[in-house]
Amino acid sequence: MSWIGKSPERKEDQRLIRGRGLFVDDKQSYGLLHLHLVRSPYAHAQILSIDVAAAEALPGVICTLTGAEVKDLMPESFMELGPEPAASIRDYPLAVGKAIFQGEPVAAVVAETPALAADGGALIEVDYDMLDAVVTAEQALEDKDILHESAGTNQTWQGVYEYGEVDKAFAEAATVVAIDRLHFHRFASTPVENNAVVAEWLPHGDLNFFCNNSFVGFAQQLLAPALGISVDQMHIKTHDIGGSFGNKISNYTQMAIAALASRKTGGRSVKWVETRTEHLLSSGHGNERTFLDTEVALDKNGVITAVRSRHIDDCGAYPRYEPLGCVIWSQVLPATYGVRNFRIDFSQAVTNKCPAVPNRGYSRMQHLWFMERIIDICAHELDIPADEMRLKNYITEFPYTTPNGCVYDSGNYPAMLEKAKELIGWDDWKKKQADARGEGRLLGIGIGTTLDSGTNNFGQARIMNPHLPFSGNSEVATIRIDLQGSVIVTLGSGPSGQSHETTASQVVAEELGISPDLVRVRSGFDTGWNTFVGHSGSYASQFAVTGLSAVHGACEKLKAEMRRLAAFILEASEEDLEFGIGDEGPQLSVKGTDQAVNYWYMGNLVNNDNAVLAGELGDVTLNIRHVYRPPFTVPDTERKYGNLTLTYAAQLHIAVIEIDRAFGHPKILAYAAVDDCGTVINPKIVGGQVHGATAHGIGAAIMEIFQYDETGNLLTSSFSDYCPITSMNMPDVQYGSIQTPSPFSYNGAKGMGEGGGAPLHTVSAAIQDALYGEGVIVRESHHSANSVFALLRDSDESTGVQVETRQ
Amino acid sequence: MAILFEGEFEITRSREETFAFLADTQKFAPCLPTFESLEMEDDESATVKIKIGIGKIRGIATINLVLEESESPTRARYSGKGSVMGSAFNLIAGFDLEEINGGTLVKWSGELKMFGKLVALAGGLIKPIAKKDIKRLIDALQKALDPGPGGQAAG
Repeated sequence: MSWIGKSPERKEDQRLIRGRGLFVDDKQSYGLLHLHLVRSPYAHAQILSIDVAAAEALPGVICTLTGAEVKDLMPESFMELGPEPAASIRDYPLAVGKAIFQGEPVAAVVAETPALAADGGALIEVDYDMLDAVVTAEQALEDKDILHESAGTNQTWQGVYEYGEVDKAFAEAATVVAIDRLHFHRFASTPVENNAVVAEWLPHGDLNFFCNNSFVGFAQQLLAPALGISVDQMHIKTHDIGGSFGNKISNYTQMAIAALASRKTGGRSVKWVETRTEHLLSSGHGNERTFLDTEVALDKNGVITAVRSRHIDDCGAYPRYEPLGCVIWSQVLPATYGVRNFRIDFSQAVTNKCPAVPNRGYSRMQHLWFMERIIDICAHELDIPADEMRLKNYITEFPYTTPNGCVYDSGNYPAMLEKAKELIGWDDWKKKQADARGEGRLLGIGIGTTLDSGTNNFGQARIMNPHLPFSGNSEVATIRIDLQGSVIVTLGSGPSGQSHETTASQVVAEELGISPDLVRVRSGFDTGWNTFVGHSGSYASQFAVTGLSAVHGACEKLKAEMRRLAAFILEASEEDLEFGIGDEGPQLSVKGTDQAVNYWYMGNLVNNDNAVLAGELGDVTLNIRHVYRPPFTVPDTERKYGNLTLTYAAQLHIAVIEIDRAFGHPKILAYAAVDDCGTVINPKIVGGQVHGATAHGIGAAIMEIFQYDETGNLLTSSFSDYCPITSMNMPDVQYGSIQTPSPFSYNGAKGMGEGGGAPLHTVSAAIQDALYGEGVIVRESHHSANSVFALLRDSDESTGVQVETRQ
Repeated sequence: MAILFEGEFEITRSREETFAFLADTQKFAPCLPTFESLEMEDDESATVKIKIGIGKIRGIATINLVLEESESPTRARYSGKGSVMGSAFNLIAGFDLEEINGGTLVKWSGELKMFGKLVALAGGLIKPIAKKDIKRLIDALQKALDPGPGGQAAG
């Protein structure tokens, strides 16, 4: 029986549903201390003085830390990935001399209880001199107020991505559509457990972390030099992450504070658990992006031939990991469309807002929203139905090499559109829409097509900074038959809710001809027992490709050893052996006979009874490590050209939305989501992740936004104002899938889970469809009732769109 | 979050007496609503504590209040910088005095800027509460300066 494409019960649910998961805040130990962070109320302010005397005098407070102390304790500040001027930015986990965003930690208190630590924090007096805040990227690029004096400018990166013959395409265009400004808003993710860490800096110099960082291989590389220890001295454990969505890649800064606090206490364990408000205020937001002066060239048939535009990314107070976002979007340069000519001038700027971090659909979602807006705006302006406009422009031949050298592995976007139409009842809704319009109601139908590119080529980092020593990708898995004959698997990545234990066990079961129940995939991640590489982690929708390829490769090697061993034991030829399950458990047997040897016997032989083995079997350990490396090359950094990612899953959503004319409230009447992630390993898990990404995207489109005022106050830093979506707000999703197997992965899988922000594209499209007759063009990605009401109220003002017809 | 406020009132006291009151931190500060205590640092600056209450969020705010401008008898201007519960606020309050009908016309104006947790947690409530407290301050100043029949002017 095959285990691929089946949905056995999730292994993870045995503990998670029973309340037996292990989250960071579950960690208790004798003498555990607690950390509280004092944060800047100002978005931009000089720190004139910090007085910790009253806090340190409070009984129960063990010690405090300030930015000045941290600067002395750290051999160097955290590395910024960007080139100069971003590389000059000094980035410490506590503000040194100046606070750059509201909520930036400026001091820390360690105490015997969390309450005492908070009380101590209230006694710390910080004298600030407030400075003017820079709250938009456009304002930042004026460089009137410089955030980081060491960089000398607020522009941290700029590059032009130009491909094809852009000017020629515009000269020959039948129509040119100009869009003055589009804006993608700030939002993030809301994990079950926020960032959290327990740190223990041992007296002999080693450092233990129990945390929920989701990219340990990367965190180690940043933490080790900043803390002045080797990577090998740093022991990091994670277990149930509680959801990362990419955000927890960047919690290494808080890990450093806890580590330094532990060091100051003489090596006691120090726990820090972020509150929800702290998380929303300061843990990391998704990129905010503004698209200016966009021009779209089209031929007489409505086929887009060229796009030129200027994009400005707001990365908040510190670039950190973020300049990677300046290139990651180009993995999906033409989106799902066959446009060959592009000129995108891309800049990134720092502002006095929370630092941007990777967030589900990282950097690509913003660009895909931009491309979908182009499609819908052009469609409406040229009076072409939205579905026809897409069919005219979709890429249809695969593999497809994009203008910047990325290779789309497989796909069938017209089939996805057809399936989504079928699921939602397209023709019926078109009739209802006509009736509704006859009654003066505002009903729109929107389509969103998106990509979920998975398995990064880290060489793309060199397009942003040629000096970075990163390229390719890799992932590791180990598999062994232990003393008792159990099959034990460890993974290089620490999962954060993607069901790695279940899907990995399915792959092993498939390979060994056994049941997933007989495969133990170790939970969590531990640098002490998991082997890993610098790329190891959960991000970029890649596990089904990198993680499972590593597992598959390890299985292949293990099977080869097991065949050799069984052939020796059974005195048979390897070709005559087959894997399966017998009366005494998992076994290898000689085809057509009752001769067999089970895993227990083989495990015992290798580990306990090996003097009986033949000499030529001396290398058989039944303990295998396999590293999977995708076939990447280093991109051409001058041309910004190369294959930046291995697989391209796709999603196509359709929404029907009615707008309340009086209040602007957008109500979703129907919603369909079609997914294509290539070969599906576990349909239930894929379905769950599609629903999760859909919920996340609908929440972002309608409910979730980080709003700052002009002085840099975050006005939405609690769930009262930043309202995450729940099952109560979710429409019923009509879910379907198609499978176009990837030719680039051993199993045809493409990886999935991020979802590409499809609901953002879809909701924007549906709202524009509802309001286009009222003179509205949707140019923002967030659609609260207030903002939709404003669109209706201001509909007689400029739409920001100009159409020039030449033929 | 910035709140601008301005207005004017007339009193029967002379401009010199009015100025003397308004430019005296020890007389002005107790008129602040929910005033708790005052500690003079020097002639121009003081540490003032007031109670803050927005719904169920309550605490004591500490303000460093400085008499920035003192142009007798026409103008007095205070600046204040305070903190409460992880939040901060900056305050400017100015008084321009004109002689009118044998008394004084007091033109008041100012700005309150708030930052941090309080704005995030109670942003929608702050403006109406601040406006109410400013009215209470002005009422208290008026009452202290010009208590009306039967009353006794402060200072």
